[in-house]
Amino acid sequence: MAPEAVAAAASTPVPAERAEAMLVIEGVSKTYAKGPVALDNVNLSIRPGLFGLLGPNGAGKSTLMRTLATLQQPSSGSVFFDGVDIVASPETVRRSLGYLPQDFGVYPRISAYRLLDHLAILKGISDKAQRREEVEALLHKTNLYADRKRSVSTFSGGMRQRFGIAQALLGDPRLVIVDEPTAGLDPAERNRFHTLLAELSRDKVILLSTHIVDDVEELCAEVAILVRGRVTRAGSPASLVDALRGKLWCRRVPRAELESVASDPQHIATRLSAGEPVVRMVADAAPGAGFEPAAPDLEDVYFHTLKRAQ
Amino acid sequence: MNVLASLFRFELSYQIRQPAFFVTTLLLLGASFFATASEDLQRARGITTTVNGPYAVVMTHLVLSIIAMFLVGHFVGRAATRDRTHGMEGLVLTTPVPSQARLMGQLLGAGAVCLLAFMAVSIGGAAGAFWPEIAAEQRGPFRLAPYLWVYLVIVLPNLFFCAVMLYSLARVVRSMMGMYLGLVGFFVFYEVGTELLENPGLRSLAALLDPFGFSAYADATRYWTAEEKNKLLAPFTGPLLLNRVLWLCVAASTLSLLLRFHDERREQPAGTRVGQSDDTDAPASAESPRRARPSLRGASSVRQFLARTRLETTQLIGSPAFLVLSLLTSFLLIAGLVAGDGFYGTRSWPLTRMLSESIQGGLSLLILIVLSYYAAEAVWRERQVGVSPLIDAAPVHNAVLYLSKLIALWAVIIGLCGVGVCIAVIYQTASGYTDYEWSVYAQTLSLQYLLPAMFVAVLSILIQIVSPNKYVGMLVFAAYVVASLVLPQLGLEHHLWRYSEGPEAIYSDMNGLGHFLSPLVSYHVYWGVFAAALVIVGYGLWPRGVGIGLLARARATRATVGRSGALVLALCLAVFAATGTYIHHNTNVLNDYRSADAALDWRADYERELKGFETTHLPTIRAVIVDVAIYPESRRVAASGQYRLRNETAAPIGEFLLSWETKNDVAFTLESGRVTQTFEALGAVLVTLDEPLAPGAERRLEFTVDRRNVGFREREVDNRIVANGTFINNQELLPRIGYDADQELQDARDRAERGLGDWSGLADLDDESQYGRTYLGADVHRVDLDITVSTHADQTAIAPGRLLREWVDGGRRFFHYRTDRPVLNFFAVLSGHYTVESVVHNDVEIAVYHHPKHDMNVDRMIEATRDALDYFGAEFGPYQYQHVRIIEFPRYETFAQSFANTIPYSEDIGFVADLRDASTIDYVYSVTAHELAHQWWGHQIAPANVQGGTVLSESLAQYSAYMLIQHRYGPAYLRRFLKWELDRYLRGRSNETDEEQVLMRTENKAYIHYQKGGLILYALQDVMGADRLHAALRDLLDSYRDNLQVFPTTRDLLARLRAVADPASEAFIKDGFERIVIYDFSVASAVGRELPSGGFEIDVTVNAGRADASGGGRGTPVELDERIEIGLLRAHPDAPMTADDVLNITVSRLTDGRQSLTLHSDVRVEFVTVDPFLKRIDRDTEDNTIAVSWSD
Repeated sequence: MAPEAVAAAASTPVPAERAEAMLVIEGVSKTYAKGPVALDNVNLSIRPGLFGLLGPNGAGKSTLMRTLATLQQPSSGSVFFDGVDIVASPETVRRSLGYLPQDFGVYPRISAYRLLDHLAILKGISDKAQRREEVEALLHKTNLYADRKRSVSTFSGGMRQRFGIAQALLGDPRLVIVDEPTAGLDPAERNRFHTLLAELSRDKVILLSTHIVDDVEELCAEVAILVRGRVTRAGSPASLVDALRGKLWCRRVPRAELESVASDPQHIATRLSAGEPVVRMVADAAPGAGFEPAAPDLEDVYFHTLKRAQ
Repeated sequence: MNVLASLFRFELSYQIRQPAFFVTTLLLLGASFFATASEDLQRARGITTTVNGPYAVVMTHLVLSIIAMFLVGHFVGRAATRDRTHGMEGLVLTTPVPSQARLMGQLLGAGAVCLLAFMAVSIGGAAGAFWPEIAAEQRGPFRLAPYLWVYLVIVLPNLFFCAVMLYSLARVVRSMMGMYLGLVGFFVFYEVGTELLENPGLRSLAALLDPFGFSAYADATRYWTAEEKNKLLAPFTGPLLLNRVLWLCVAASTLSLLLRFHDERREQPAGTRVGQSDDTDAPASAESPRRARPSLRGASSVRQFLARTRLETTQLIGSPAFLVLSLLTSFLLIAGLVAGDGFYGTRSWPLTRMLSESIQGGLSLLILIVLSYYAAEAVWRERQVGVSPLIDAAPVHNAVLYLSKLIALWAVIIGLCGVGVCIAVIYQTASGYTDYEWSVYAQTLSLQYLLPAMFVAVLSILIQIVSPNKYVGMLVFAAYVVASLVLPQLGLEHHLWRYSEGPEAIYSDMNGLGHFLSPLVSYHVYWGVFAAALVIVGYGLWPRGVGIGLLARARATRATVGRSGALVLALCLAVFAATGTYIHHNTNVLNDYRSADAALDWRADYERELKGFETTHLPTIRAVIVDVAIYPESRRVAASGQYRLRNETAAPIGEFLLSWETKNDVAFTLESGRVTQTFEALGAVLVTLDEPLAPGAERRLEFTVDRRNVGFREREVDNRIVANGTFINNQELLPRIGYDADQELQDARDRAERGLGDWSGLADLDDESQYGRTYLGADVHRVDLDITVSTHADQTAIAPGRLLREWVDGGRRFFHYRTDRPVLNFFAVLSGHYTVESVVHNDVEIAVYHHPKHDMNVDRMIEATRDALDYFGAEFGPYQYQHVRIIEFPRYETFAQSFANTIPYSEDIGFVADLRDASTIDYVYSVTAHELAHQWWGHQIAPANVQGGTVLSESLAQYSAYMLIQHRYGPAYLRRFLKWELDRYLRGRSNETDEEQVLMRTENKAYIHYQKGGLILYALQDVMGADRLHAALRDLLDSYRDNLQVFPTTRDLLARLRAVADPASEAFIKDGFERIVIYDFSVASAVGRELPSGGFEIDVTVNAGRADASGGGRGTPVELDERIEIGLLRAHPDAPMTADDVLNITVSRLTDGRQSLTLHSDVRVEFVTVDPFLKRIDRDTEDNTIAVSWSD
């Protein structure tokens, strides 16, 4: 298990850790003119490898991702990639950046191949032969090769998402930011994508934002949980899960009682087992009769974090 | 019904909350306000027409209701396609609402939105009438009736028609774009159709077919006078009623078809192909490929730029909208070319310069739409399609993203221009004209059109960059366009203030871009570097990422632009400042700059300070000896010479005013005279004679004049002296004697603004004090003229008189001309590179000096001259000179003008007319004949300086030209001219800004002295006989020919006419010259039958009447009892008619009211027409002809 390389919220990063980290986020806050605080003093130091950013919808994940992708400026705080301030010189970061936004569109009347080729040029791959090799390889990898001549605007959601992945990987980026990448993918595609990410993650930072706990669990060496703009938990999935070990209890509950049990402050989630509700609670000791100890997983950590943040 | 009402309410409340509603309402409000309050439109309308009278109200609503079809298209199109485009179709179609109720609810709701938006027109118009600049007499009382009328008759039917048709179209084609395509197609079709049906003969068809009722309304009010326009609403009968009913029926049937057959739930065509995503793993390349590493050096940026530009260009040019625009461009251009216009509807040869202007004209409005629409598209495309996160996160410099869009927009402009050139070249080829002059296309289109448009493109993009959304950007751009039209009138007139613009430049075949080139290039550099600066600002502020506000972008500009960008920006601004200084130095330091207002102020000052010196007590110029040296290459003329002055009055002359154009440097010496008062700014001095000039005594005035052109001017460009085609007259070049009343302002508003009282107008017909001077000026008497003109050695210089000698000396060519008999002191000198074609006809040398390429109609001019000399010589007396010289000059002016034996003729008329089609009107012949006739009417006799003077010059010349045409080609051929002449007279009096004067007292109104004068004299020769009329004219000529002291008036003409007139002619003379009499003839029926004895008999019912119309246009019926021609024809007289079609002309006595006539003919005839040769002024000649129905 890797040592805890993630500083918790509001703690000052230690210089030694910074030296190892490729991406350092320091006190980043973002406030929109209208609306709540989107990011609230986020501090993270991220080393090469897959890093998961977990959070419910509206937690500020996309805002953070866009900020890292140089598409947005933080209200305060700074972000360093390889020691370069990305707010001050976005151009430098963009050269090493691969970005798959949560939601994107494409030009009409342009084939997948041509659009990918075009984006490759924008990424700075000037050599024609090299570009072709790269584009074709990515089309193969994302299983789009057969459809390369079709206009992307006619793609189905999953295909479009695969196209997004392909373009994010153009030019061998060293910082890959993927925002909700597996939404809309079928299980086979999702598997393939995960394999791809895992394969790539050797010498680069891959930031994966998602609200699907399984994605993180399968892939990420480290994870941060973002709730209402704040990093409330961070660490390796195993260490986070370990923290709950021995404190998780579950009980099969009749539907009639469900409401009263769910209002218990210790209640974190209700799962279904063969159609029957099973409540899960976090407590130092068994919260009541009928509760049995349960083995925690990352989802429990996630729900527990959410519950605590309320 | 409840469902319908709630759908209606939903549609209404939904659409009026959209920005489009706000924007279109604002646009309509602005348009109608502007249409009502605009000073230019007021002037065009004339001071006697009120800005809020029935006619003005109806016209504003009518025109805008046609333009409103685009707004209707938007609203009903949205209603029809909204559910589909927003993916709501599935939800909506599964509700149990009946389809018909849905359609009706949407249609009526969207229609109501259109109506609401359109009401802004009424508000804007009503408010515009209170604009303080509008004079009180132009503002009538507010009346509700015109508004009610226009809504019931015009607006509601038009909106309903558009709404139904466009809604149906949108429903059927199921897309906004498809609907727009149809809409634009219809608009073009409408425009072309209207153009094609402009021909007078097709007007009644147009009145029926125009779905907006515009042609019907225009037809009903075509010849209305101001009085009628201010009082009357067109009667809702006849073609107008028929038109409205017809098109309402069309709309209603379309709607019922739609409701009956349209099935929204129809099976959808498979929209998106489902991807054949084979879940088998891709032939996975086991080993990862060599990963490409970005290289971001300069070369890569270039590669990125090329790729972006290609993508942007294909996105813009590949879009369906570009296809639509290209088609629209083509149609507009083709329509313009096919419809054509020109004098008397005769087209010109398709010269490249003309087609270049057609392209520019055809594109002028379109390009603004293109710039506004495509700039918005280009700047917002990535954000709109959602690809911006991918692009913005790529390592691409802002300049690459920005410039590629700019280049693509430029490509669109150039592309449309290219489409225009293709059409033009095809048209030239199809017309059998193959001198394509590619360099002229390139020069004129790039300098006059493309560069300014490209600069505006930069601005349009910048506006979009700083706008919060594209609609605001388009609105701001529209505001810029309006401001660029309005601001010059509010004082920002100098082009140094007017982005992308420069002074007008005219391309002439003779002179190319000539002296316009240097200011044009200077201004293009000036605005070009400014645009370049805007480019840098533009990419500095380029919107990148999400929610990065303008302020944040502005703060980051320095980083984005970088040091080199800042350097270039500074350089651009420095060059901008330097060019601006250079232009200013040229326009305001080397030359005097006067705004248009300042130029009017100058004339007011002239009148205020010098009116006191207006007198006829002046020395008369009796001889002019002058050397005129023309330097075409430096655009300079130097003249030196002398006037022999003589006191022709009865009293000694002690002082007189001497004046000259302020462009000229003048020095003079007068024997025993000195300057006692100087009006420096007015170019005038008062000269006092030490010893007054006794009656009959003479004195010599010596002068030198230098007229130079240095640098270039902003306004009041000297188009007289040019590199090739100099044409300047003595009044512009040499000093003049006496006060020049032509400088007086005539427009009542201009005068009032400058504290001048009402304009005194021309001297009264009976003011005998003015009989001693001609209408051409106080100093225009008859002189002996001795003139030596010199010019560059490869040019020919021409002046009136006999050429005594021609020689070359020191690289310059000299021509010495002298007149054999006194000529009017009104002459011109010309110089250019000419080809000369000459013939000698009965001892008169006829020569045409023309641009080498313009030889198309030279023979025709010579033929007309020959015929004119023969016919006028026989009818009016001998031609007085040994030469006729017709000289072409550049198109800076469009006229032909007759000086003594010298006729300058603009390159834009006559020389380039295309007369190959025999059915066209040969105005080359008629204009040449008219100018030749001036050698008699204007030169043998010159009118006195009183009302009606131009009757003796212009009316008689026009009449003479008609008679020559009739003499040579017969009355049927002449009728083609007269049809146009009658129309021009009637339109002229409809557009009269003051009160129409009677012919005898006309004050320089062209429609009266050319058209009415010509028509009245032509009718008079029919009434009294040409022989008698010409005898009277000869008598007039004999009395005043070469007269030096007293000049004739219309009273002299009328006295001679009356001397030979019978009572009927006497009455006609009175009606024609002293009253305004308008006739109304019509044929109600014509039934023919074959007689057993052979021959044919036709019973004709004719209605007749006439009215006396005073100045305002009210007509009072006056008794009719005249002998009028009735024609039996084989073809309709507007066909056009040839002599063979005229089978029989009978003269019948017609009186007021309905009357029956029985006519006889040896052959079977097709048509009966009253007054076949247009000898009476009839406002509606359409109903004068009827097809004969045969009873067997």
